[in-house]
Amino acid sequence: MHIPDGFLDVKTAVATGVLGAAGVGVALRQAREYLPPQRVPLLGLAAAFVFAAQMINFPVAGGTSGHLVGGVLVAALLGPSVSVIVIASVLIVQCLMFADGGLTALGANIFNMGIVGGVGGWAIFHLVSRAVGGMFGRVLAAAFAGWCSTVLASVACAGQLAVSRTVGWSVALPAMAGVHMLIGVGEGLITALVLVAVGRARPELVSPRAVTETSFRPLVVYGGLIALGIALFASPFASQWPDGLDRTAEALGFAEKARAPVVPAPVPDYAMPGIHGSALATAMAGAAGTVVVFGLAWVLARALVPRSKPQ
Amino acid sequence: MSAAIEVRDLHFRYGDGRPALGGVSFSVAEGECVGLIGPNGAGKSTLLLHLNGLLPHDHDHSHDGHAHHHAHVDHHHDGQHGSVSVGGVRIGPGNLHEIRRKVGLLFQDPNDQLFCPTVFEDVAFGPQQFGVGEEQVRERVTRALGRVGLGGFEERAPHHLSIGEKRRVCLAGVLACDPSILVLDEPSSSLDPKGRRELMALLREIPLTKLIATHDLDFVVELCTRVVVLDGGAVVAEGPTVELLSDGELMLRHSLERPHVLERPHPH
Amino acid sequence: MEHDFLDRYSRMSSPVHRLPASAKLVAALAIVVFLTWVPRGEWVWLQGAAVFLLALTGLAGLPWGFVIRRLLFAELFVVGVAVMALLQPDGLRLFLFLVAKSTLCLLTMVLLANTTPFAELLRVLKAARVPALLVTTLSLMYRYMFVLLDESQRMRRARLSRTFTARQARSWRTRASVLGQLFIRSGERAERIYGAMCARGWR
Repeated sequence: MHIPDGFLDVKTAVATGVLGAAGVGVALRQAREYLPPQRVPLLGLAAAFVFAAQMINFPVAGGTSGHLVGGVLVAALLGPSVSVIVIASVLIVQCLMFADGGLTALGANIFNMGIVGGVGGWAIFHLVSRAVGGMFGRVLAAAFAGWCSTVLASVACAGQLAVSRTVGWSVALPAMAGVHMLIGVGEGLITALVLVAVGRARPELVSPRAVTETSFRPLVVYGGLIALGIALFASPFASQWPDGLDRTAEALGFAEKARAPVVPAPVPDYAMPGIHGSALATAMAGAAGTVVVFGLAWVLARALVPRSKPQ
Repeated sequence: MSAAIEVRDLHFRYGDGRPALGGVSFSVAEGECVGLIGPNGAGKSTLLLHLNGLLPHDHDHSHDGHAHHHAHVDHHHDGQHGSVSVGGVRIGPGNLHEIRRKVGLLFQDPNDQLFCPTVFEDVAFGPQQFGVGEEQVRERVTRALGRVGLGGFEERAPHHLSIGEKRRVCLAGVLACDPSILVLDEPSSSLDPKGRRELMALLREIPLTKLIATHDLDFVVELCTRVVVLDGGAVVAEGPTVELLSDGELMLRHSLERPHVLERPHPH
Repeated sequence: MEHDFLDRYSRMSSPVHRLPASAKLVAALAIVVFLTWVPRGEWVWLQGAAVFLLALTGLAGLPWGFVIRRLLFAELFVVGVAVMALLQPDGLRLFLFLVAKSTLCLLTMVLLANTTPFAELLRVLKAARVPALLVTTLSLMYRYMFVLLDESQRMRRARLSRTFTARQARSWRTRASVLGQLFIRSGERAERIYGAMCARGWR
């Protein structure tokens, strides 16, 4: 879900650039503090691993195939800040070496997949695996969090497209979220399967003690960045709020002046009267989908991690 | 005059408690080229890692969960005793940096050792870590690449090189540190006959003290005056190359065999 | 190395290749930002940019077939996102404009990527005071991504040669198992690299 160039306007590109850079900065500081020196090369190798993993086809019916993004997988195995650095590195290399993902969209891609998807996904993983416990809990958490991270990242992306006035919110959200609720199943499934595979060969790598990052104070910062992102990019959703980003942009001189509107005047995107109704419908569909996916994840985890026989 | 390398009663256990080395003792005189031979699992690579201070130091694995097949210094230090001395100075936590400059270690897999994005940066890595100034680094890189026959390869990317070229880059990277001792782990493995011959000629040109751990017994006959046979974590034989390697029974006893090259006239 | 085709043209020689990497990076950013700014419907700017970029591509000596293939590969994403524009009033014109704009940006990045060895871009990043840990990570990633790609291919082939059923469930589990192995091996390799770094004096 690498956003190409040309879909985000300049002010959104700058805003996401700042958010992405801030997130990576926090992650680097965390890593410097908590990563033992012998793990420094592991950052680079994990990034190479994610790159190689993203290239593997997981065939789905009809000639299409799914691919792993890997944010939650890396976070589960190596911690959230490592995941941010790894995902950011993969995105940077893909952008600069393969034109995969736009240069102006780099900040957004890092923010969406690394911070919203990676850290957000990891938070869900952590909560669920703590609540349920055991290897079963971790596999369940991996599957569910993998799905969530995909959907959340796509919602952030939709918000950015809407704020850029490239695609209206009422089109972007259902389209992006809808598609990614499907794609996310693949991500959750693959994340769980790989976690199981690693755990089978090296159980100590999937134990909670394998993650050396012990302080979660930075989660406050990550959470803050995500909240800021929501405020900036989801503001069309709460249409009573002023479009904070536009106001800021105008104040700082980023807003484009002589621009034709995305959508001709008769159907202004944010102020569309029906949006409240469709927003509620979307939210309910989302909630229902989430519950269903959690159930599927439970079934999957049970299949992969059989109940141990009582003594 | 103190030996270039002196190993005295070296013991070592892996992290999981398995014994790796049980009282290894031998020495290498300055300027000598000694071969270290033995079957798989004898402990050759583990021994070599001691000669450059990589074991048992610098691998504090108390944080990570990786199972590992190398060291783990337990708190009572009973995982390892004995000593390794280089040029008369015993290797200890205080002098690791200097030891690593003096003893150049060439790893078995060049992919692990050649980790920089370009050849120049990789060969320059060592000198930079040892505090050599920028101009001098450039000189050393050029010289080292010239010595291994890879002049002009500075801007090449490692993933475009053949394994023989990678190995030579690694050798250049080690030589650029200006060591006095070279320790090589399976230098001829994966090389085609031409690569092997070139490496052999190259090593012959380098007048440093050399210790070569290898399965390639013909290689040993061509380059080494003396051999040390390691089996089951201990030295089981040591002596002049031809004498030891011609002893068919000794060879078979330690899962080796008489090298073919001894069927013909040879340099020693 | 099987996958080095992905990095084949960045070290050729041409007037464009010879430009300093920092200049090319800044120029690419400027061009992409400019293209992003071009207001809806102002096709003349896009046409001018197209002529300029195509001329650069020719000057750089990149094979046209290769350039087209790289563009097509990324075009999927472009079209995939732009398709949403079709769902809006006046969607077709918007769709075409977006695709054209984005494709030109793609061409810019393809030009940058294939006239500038990544190692040089890394040096630019280092000079720009990008944090050392990130630059090291990027360097190691660049160095080992092809190695790991090849390793994963070999493992897959080895698995395939021992698998006789083509059932999908088995196939996903097999691939996931390959990834699991790859992760573990990557971790082990990282430890060996750490040893190699220490052996040459890293602290």
